[in-house]
Amino acid sequence: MMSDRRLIILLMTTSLLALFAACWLGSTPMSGGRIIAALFGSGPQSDQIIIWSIRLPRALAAFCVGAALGISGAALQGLLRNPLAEPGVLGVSASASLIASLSIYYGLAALSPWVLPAAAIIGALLATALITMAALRISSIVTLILIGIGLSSFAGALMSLLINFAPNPFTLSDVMNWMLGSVANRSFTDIGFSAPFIGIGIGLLLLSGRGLSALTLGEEAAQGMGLNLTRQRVLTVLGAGLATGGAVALAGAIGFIGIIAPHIIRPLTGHDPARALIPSAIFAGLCLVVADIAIRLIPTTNELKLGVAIALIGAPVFIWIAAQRQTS
Amino acid sequence: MKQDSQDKDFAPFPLRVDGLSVIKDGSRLVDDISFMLNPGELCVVLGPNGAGKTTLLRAILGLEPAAAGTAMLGSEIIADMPPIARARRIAYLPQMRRLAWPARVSDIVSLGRFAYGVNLAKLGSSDQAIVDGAMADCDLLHLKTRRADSLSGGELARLHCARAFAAQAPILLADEPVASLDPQHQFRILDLIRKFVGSGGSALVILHDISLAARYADRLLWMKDGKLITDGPPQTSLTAARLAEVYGINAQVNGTDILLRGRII
Repeated sequence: MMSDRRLIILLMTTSLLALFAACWLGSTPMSGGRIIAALFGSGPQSDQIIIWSIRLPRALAAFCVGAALGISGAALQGLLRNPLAEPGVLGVSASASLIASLSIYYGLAALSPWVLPAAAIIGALLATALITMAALRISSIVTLILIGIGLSSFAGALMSLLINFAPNPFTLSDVMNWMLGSVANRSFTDIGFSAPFIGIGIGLLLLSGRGLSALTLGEEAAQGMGLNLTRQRVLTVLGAGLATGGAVALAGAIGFIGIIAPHIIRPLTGHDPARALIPSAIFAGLCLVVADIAIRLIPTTNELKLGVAIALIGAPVFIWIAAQRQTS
Repeated sequence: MKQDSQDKDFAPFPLRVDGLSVIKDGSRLVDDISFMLNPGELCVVLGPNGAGKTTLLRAILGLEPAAAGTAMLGSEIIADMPPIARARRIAYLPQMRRLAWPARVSDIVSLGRFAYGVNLAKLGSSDQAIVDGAMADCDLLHLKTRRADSLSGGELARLHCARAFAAQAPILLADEPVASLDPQHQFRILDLIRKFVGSGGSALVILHDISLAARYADRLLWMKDGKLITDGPPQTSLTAARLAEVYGINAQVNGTDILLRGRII
């Protein structure tokens, strides 16, 4: 086990390199010197546009989305004491996607560019409020997971209904795009709308970290040690809900990264849920930045969506983790 | 296991349970129980499965809402104390459950300092000293960097004890701390609790082994169907008639030596 600080510094350095690589690699070849010049606001106008309006915001969006999903996954796994928990488990991602899709379906999203992200955040907050109320009254964590799965399935069913009744192929493709998950063509404005929610969510999750450590011993012992269980659940669920809502607003539904990143980080931080939070966030962000570079470079006729690429890698890993858990 | 905190919070108050009742789904799980646990005392709760022993411990801590009665520490009602304040004065060792994550031994013991705001990433030197002391007391120092999932049952039981002792609370409530341990380890754990009590603490311990209870307890609390049948030292309260009444078993009792013969049909 390396020290926590060294791990964070290593991950941050790698992430900065990945962000730089994201600016460097792309359809318009640019030298490193030109990128640095453009980053600092000198050099030709076209270079600055490519970096500041296209490549950097896209890469930063990928990083923010990954960080939000990674820390949410790590925190929910600590709370539910289950390595398979992630924002999707509590139905937050699905609900956020549903409300966002509804706004597309009823043409509200065309009214203003702000409607879509706002709808996603409203969906996440609705789901979060529901789960938070359930968490206040229900003492069993398994029941809480089942409610989340039910909520997630219901939101999924309504999404299918929307696709089923889509009035025209344009609405269908809009909704599908939202479900597939992507950070293409995101601007700093888009990031700015999600960032406060992601930021507050991450803040709440960091506050809840110490309690997550205590929960390693089980709820009974943790309560005995002075943990206010209700407060802990509300804090974690609310934090994960806000961060996930912000992430869905920015990129649509991107699954599995919230499971995989914490799974890789956990052994490096002594299996302590609190110490895994920040490294999981950075690592998940790094993964999405790298994956997004890869899908930009892979030559395909239609654009490969980030959410699809992550799911293709993530789903088998998820099954592998689940199978390992069965045998232990 | 030194009680080096001398401020008034940690003055060795007796724990007073007064008419405590817990009703769940219409049944009285704990029925009008009263007793005192004094500093320097080791009390063992005995009783058959379902007698309400665990519920009694939870109700004392305020984790289970009481239908009537109170558990008090000095002049304070425990159920009304903030969780952190309560945890600093009463350490609770629930029935052993699997750990959620294969954490390191030293980290688990450090969690005992939770009520003092300890953060596993950076343990202060005084907390570290207390954690090391608890590990030394429970003979865990040579295991401190091991992962908890690599420990034997006996080592795990010592780990949980060390975690509870690291809180340095004057009162310990332990729910079957020796369940599924071999006899040598049962003695070992109870020796640790005895030592804690000897240094001025007080302990309320649920046990299933009657002869072990008779050997270590200052007083035995006999429970059946949520009621406290008798409260007294082993020398007087442990009788063949009582074993028949509480457990429904035939036994021969000679002082604190017990020979169990079978159940009463």
